[in-house]
Amino acid sequence: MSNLLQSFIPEARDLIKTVVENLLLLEDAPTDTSVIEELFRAMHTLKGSSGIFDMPPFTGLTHSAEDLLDEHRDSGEPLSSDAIDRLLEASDVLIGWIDALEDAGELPADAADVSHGLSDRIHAMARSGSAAEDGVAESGESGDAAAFLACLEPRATEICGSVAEASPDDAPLTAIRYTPEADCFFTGDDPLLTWSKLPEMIAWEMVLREPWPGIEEFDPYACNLVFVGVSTAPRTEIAHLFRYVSNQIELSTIDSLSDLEEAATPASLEQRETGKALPAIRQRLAQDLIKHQATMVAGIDLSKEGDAGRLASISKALGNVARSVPPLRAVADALPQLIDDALASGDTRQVAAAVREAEALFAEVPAAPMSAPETAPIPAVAEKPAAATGTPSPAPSTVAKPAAQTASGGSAASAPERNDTAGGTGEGNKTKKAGQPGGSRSMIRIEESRLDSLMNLIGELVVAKNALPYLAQQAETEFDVPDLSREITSQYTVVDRLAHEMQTEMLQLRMMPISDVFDRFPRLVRDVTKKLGKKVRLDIVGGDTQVDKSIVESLGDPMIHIIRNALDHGLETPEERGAFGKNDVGHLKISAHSEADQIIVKVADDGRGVNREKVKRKALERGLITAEEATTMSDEAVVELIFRPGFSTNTDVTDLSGRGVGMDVAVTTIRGMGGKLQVTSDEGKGTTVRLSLPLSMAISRLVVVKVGSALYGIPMDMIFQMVRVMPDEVKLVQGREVIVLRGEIVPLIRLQRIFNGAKGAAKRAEGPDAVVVTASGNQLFGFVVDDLQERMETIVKPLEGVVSGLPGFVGTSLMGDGRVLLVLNPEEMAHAHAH
Amino acid sequence: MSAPETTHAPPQDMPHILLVDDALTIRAYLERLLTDAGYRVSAAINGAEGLERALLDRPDMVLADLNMPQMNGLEMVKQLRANSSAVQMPVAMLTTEQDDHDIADAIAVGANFHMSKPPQPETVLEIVHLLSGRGDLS
Repeated sequence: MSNLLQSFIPEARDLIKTVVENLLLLEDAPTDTSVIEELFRAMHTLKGSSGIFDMPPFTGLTHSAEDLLDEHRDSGEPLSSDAIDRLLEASDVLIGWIDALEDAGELPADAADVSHGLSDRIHAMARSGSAAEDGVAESGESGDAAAFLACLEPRATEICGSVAEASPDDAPLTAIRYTPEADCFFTGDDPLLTWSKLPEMIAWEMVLREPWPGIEEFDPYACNLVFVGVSTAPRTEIAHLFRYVSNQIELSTIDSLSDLEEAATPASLEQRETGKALPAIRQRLAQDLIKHQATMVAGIDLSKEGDAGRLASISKALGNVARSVPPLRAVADALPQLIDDALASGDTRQVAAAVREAEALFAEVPAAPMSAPETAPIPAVAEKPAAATGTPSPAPSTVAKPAAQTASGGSAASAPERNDTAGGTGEGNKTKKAGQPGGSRSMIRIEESRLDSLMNLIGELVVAKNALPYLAQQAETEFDVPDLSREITSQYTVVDRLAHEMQTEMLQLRMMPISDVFDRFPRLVRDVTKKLGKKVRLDIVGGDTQVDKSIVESLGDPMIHIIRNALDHGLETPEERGAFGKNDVGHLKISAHSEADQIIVKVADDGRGVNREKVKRKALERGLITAEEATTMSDEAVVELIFRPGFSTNTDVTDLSGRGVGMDVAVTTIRGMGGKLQVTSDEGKGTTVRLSLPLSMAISRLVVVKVGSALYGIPMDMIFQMVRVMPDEVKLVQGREVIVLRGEIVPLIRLQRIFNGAKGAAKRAEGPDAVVVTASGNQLFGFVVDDLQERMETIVKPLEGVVSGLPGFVGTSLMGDGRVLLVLNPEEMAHAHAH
Repeated sequence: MSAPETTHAPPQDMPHILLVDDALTIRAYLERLLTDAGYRVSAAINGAEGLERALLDRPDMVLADLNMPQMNGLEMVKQLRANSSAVQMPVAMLTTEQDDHDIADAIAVGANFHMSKPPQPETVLEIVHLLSGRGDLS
């Protein structure tokens, strides 16, 4: 994939995101001009940027959307809900294409069809373009049939016959000339297609706008064609067809066939021949440039602020142009003096006269300035390929890299640009780009994988530094050099602090606002409620809460399930709400905040809540609980049944939240992230799902426990409580050891017995047992260990090689002294050994 | 200076072009186009930044987008022209295709040329050549 495309993709994503956000804003505030403006700007930029690549479907679709927005921007009329739907649809299509570009490097095969279909529908929404039609009609008046119909002259007889046949009632004929812009292929126009739609065409011809240039100047992507035709269709119909290219259309009414014949006279052919003598691109542009300066001069009034500067810029511009266009030199040389005089006298007429003189110079000798001095134009043409191929790789690699260093703003800015060294077309400029004192944020894009590997290295460092205290201890106890030990310890505190800061900083780097996840919800909520015929007001709070990128990546899917569930099963229809005396617009609140070292995310609706009896009944039917359990279950436990696999309280299966399959998947995903999910529900008043998530999935906090002679880690976020129990507190229930903790029965699992077999299970007579109580769903388990040791922050690596997939463990970690720590997965361990 | 020499000429002899556009892709595209043609190129992402660069770096010419956040291209040129200490370098403005208002505005603020978007490579190279004073004649 080209560098350019690589930079286009993220940019396009951002822009489409802006479009969607603003479309949704527009639904609430349809007349907010700043929103429409922002929307237009984003779409405009998207279209402009896409024009660089050869993908007409993309450019065409964005173009039609831009047109629609532009119209509303001008008229101030709000966008209809239908129009917003269409534009959202277009955004979806565009995102799909961006995905395809990223994966396959090209648009999907059906892109052209999709683009055409959708563009047509979007265009149809534009007020049926009365303004555009007027534009065509106006230009039509100036259209000179005599001039442009010349090309049809050889077929005059044939045309006369066709006309007599096609319109016996002598319908008026319209002559049309369509001159597509040279860059029309980049703006999404399809001239041939448009032209072929022209109704009631009698005859047409395709001619050249300019003679074909030499092969080295030939640009296959520039349109050099002009379409000329005669139609009996009503003029308004023709104008309507060409309403989006009205500036490229000339219309002229032909009163009778004799006009046509008259039109095709040798005189007009001659006129065309002069046109053929049009000079090369430089001459045309130089001419345009001078004309532009003339227009500027005409508008200058030296009493206005800035006009002295404008005048100076005209002089500078013409002076520069004259360097490549010798005939201009005399005028350009005279200008500075004339301008000085004008500034002194306040009278710009002399300047204006000089510029007009330059203009006239060109009009008189159209071909002379360019073709006469052979030395002048040739280098300019030859130069381009030479520079492109001859320079040893000037800078392509630096081009698409939007990086800018943040360092040394002021000094870089003031450094003279002469420092740029040979071939260094990239470096010097980049530094300058970076130095933007007071400028907006300068950003650097980094591949995610680089960040990840840096994160891993820091993790290793954190672990490696843990070796120092061990070394200090050895120095003191084994080698008896307490001074060295103290020295190592003091060094350790420094390294420890640095490593810690580095780790914090690194975690900060990976932090993203949770709005990256939340931003897609307004659209989701809108679509889902629309489908369900429900009304809801969505509040999103705390979108700026920072979370680790791993969380952002994993949180989206489970939240979508939770939100869909809330909208589908929780919220009532407006009628139902009315019957309950509730406001018929429901309320959904999605919020995030950080609490200690956890991120709390809540999804709260004010819907019907969970009907506990209904849930119990369903759970019984599906055999998820026994009748006995049903009577003894706590309210919370009942509510949490809805997360059990294969549970759904809604008898109607909908295509939105399905059979409740999503909810248990959501729970599994959240748990996998080291998070917890709780539901509270108030029947008739609403349901709140509360997720508590770790700040980061990258660094784990472990409690180190000793079992026999080995050490194991238990993830802190799984731990409910750590207790020491005396032997007489351990009871036997149905042959299993349990303890009672806060009124709950907690089965005990002796890790000694699991890891070391019966031998290790020999009960220690004296002293309390250390028990780590973990929560697995609603069930508590107590792991009996020999000793509780330190807590540590570390990275847990997944199990690899022959032990990969070993049940009961999540991975390994390193202790300070280099020992490997196996980290338990208490949930798996409990389920494997609970009986 | 003749064509073959151009490629070996020390870069500091080449005109310095300042690009001002908020669209990353357009910026990257123009930057490559112009660097490949031998120009020295620097870039700014909005009018405010563009104005600052223009005043500090004194490029030989400015190629600016019209529609930008914070400060648009028109305002940027207006302020540049009103700054009496500024070198009045030529400015070419990128406008929405054939929007007459845009073109009139561009002229009124003091842009020396306007081009419609997306910029055609030949047009850009030619205009930059002419306006930056790169010159074919020594």
